Amino acid sequence: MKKHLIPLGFLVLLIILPPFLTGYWLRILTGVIMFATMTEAINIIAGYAGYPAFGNVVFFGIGAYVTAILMNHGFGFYLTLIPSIVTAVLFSVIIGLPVLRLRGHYFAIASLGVNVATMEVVNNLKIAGAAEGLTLPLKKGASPHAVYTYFYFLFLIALVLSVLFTIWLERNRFGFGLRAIRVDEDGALAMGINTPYYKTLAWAYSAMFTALVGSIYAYWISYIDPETVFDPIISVKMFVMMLLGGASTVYGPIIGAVILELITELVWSKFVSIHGIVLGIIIILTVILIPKGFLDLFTGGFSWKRLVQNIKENMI
Amino acid sequence: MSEVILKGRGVTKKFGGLVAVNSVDFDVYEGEIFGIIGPNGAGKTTLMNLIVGLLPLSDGEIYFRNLKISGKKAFYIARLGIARTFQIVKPFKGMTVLENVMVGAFFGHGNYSKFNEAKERAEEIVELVGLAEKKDELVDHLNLAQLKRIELARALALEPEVLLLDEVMAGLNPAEMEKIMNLVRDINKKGVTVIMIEHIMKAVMGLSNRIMVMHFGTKIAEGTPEEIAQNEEVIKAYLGERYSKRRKSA
Repeated sequence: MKKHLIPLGFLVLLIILPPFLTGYWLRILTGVIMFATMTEAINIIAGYAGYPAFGNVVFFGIGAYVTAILMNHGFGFYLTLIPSIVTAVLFSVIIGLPVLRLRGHYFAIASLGVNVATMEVVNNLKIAGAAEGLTLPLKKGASPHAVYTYFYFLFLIALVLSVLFTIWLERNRFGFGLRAIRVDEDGALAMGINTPYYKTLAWAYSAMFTALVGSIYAYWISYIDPETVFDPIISVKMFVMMLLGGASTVYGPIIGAVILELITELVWSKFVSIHGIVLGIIIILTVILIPKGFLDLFTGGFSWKRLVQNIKENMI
Repeated sequence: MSEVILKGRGVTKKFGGLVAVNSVDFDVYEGEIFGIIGPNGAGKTTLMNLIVGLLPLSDGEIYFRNLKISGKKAFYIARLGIARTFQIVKPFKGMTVLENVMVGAFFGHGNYSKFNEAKERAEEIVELVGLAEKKDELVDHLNLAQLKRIELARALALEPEVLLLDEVMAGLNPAEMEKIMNLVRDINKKGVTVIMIEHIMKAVMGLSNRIMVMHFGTKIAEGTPEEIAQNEEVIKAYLGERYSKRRKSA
């Protein structure tokens, strides 16, 4: 329980903060929370179960599109959430049953393929506005700041839900099963773990939270097109955040999201053309220097000896 | 003797043209320690993989009591109460000793679905195999003898009726071996049927009630340790044709 106290303090801070922030910073913080939630979601399948789901943004896109399509047909925003989640979860199960039989890089590439294929389908789907994308009804509010605050809290609720889920996962039979699958799938089978079922379920949960975020995103930005919401770079960012903060931990994904989003804002806005290079360098440095992520540095303490040892172990 | 708990009929496994296990029949009785020996490549580990469902059979049938288990999924067989250890240890790295054993308790025959139940059960078993003071350490830092104990502990946490041990003694020094042998004896006394594959003759001969000998995928002998030690076929398989002839003429 003790280790959840500091995060709880941060949560209280996040709740009372919005009135004191400018619109600019509120938007940045909203972006951080949005990515933190998606990273928590990818952490379930890629962190705990060890399946590198590089195509996870596909659920983000599906969530965004279901909400956009339904709202264009007169549904209220909240009514679109359940259909959006159900669609994404069904999609993850149907795709997951065959694709989750692949392991390691093969799974990563297959899931990426699913994402790109889905994007192409949506690109040609009339009801989804094809390549032109869809416009959503604008959220009305007393002031722009009130609207920003509304979305800020929607994302914050999604984040809290995903964190609660992960805390539950840590102390639950399901979580133990996933961690066993990550290390050794044959070993897990011999331990009585129904691995195909568990993997599929893990991806379904991951899809659920990612789709929820996609839905809120669509309403927030109020215009979506396939190139944006199925962008593989979003998957890559989720992955980097997860590794940066600490995979298969509860709070690692949040730390990763904070660090990377702040870097984005502070550095990339000035050097747009090199952001691919920066992303690549961060991935390499993380994997070599702190393979367990920043959270491990905070909880385990920093020591030069560990750093040198990490370099020795992880150099190619 | 007591009733048959595990029964194989015409158990066969082919890898392409290679017949790794060739129409083997076996009966394991409840409560015994059943040894399986044979030279390298005799098909012992393959047979074990067939029993626990990690490999599909090419032909034949395996029964647990009266239930046909060949063709069933590995996790289902594990939950029925047939547990195994791996010759090449497969600890769940990144997890502590206790957590490793908890996996077994969560998913095994005992079906401890609550966190605290599984933890309590795992603590008992960790104590039993003598790893109590290491329970909160990551398995990544343990040595081979300790990892073998974890294999055993995890399998025990499944609360099996039949425990299959794949070379648990390999790579251990005599003192460690002695401890594990005592442990296996204790486990067996509690009513768990044990099937052990072993290269180390002292261990098999000392522990087993009955022994089956395999050679090139076929069963060449079966009997008590004394019978096996005298069996011509077995001596031929292990020590070669010439030695066998010399022994006869002497």
